Amino acid sequence: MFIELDFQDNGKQSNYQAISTLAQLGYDGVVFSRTINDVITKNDICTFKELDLKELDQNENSSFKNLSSLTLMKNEKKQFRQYSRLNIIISSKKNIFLLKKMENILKTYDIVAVFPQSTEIFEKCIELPTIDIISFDLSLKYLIKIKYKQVNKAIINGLFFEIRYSSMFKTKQSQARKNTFSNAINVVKYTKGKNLLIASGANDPINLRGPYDVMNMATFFNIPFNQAKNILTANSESVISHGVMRKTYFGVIKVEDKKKIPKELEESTDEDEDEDKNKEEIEIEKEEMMIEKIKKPIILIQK
Amino acid sequence: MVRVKFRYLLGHVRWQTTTKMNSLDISGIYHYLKNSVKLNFGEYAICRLGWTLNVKQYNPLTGLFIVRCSRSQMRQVWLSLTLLDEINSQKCAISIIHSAGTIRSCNLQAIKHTNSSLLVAKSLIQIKNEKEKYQKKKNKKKKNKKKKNKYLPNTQVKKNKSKK
Repeated sequence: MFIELDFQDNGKQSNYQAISTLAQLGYDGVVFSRTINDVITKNDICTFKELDLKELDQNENSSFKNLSSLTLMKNEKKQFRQYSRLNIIISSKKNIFLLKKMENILKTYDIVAVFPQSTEIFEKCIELPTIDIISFDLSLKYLIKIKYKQVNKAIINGLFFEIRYSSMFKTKQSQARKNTFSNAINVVKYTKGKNLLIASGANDPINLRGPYDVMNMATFFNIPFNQAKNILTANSESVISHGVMRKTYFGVIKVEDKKKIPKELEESTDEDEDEDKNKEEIEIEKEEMMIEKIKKPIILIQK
Repeated sequence: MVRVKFRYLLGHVRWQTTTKMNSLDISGIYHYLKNSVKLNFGEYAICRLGWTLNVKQYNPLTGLFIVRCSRSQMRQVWLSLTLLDEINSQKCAISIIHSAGTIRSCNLQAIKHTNSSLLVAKSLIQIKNEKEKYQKKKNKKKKNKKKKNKYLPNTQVKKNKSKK
């Protein structure tokens, strides 16, 4: 159960290509993301709609790329899951209060992530209840100063830290590749492998890699073999459940739209009417059976 | 006795555009692989690999290839393959499917990898035909609908064959 935790949302056709490549590589879920700088406004409500995978069958011809996605549609129980995500880049201290104030807007997304740009902002982001992930921009030369005490507080509150590997694939800028290695090792040192996530913040589906390739890459970040698989499977699902609990009112009540109710509950009302009809039909059929017996008597022939 | 042991890696190449790369050869992949190992791990890693690094098979149609390396340097060769970006000024992506000790097991896995995609192509045509047949049967059944009575005992209408 591998889930890809960060892929940028650029429209319908790019999303279809991403889903087809991810299904070919072996993933079972995607999170489509969107980035914002500093200020959160009312226009930032989530406008993400889940894509119908059955349209792939009808519109596009069956090419080699899209075959793997169609295998999932054969087993209808096994569906390809899709979620939404928000990335917020904070560079000034004055805009931190918006994260508490604009709580209702942040609740429309499944996962919320924060990119702090200084140590003072990092201290204040730890105690916020409206956040799931804290991640860093690893292609810069100098990372933020991290302290052990602050990281341990965040882990007790239930936050996650993240590493992104898409900045390693810029061949013309060889400095970005060197910086990601050194900064990622630094992040692993302070967290000691707890509450870690690995994701790719990619634009193109070419920069995506399979799950076992990512696990091999994690061993070079000084993550031991046992934890490398847990990071991709267990931690990625716990982040999604953390986002689900964030939407509720202190974990007690949850409000949903009418459209999101599954169709099985709506169809249950029709079954009651069918049971009433059956009784009437049974009485009619009883009479028919008696009439048929009279019309067609049983004839026995003795040998 | 003391024996040199190898690891064979099965990989799959994926291109950004669907142009046919007929000019790519086994020697071309070996050249780009060696450069990426040099870039990421230095000249010491190449000297340690030595003569054991080799590309055995490559199929341009499906994009599968097999690479040989010594057992201790498998992880480093694996990482240098994932970080490979460009071949012949075209962008590509490599994903590794299987690692084994012999070429035979790699070839068996390659057969499974292509069979799964061929089965889908065959089964899709079958599924379409089956769906049409099933829908035709459903339309016929609705006209001649006879429900079984749950409340009556088993009434068997006997059909006697008249012998003459």
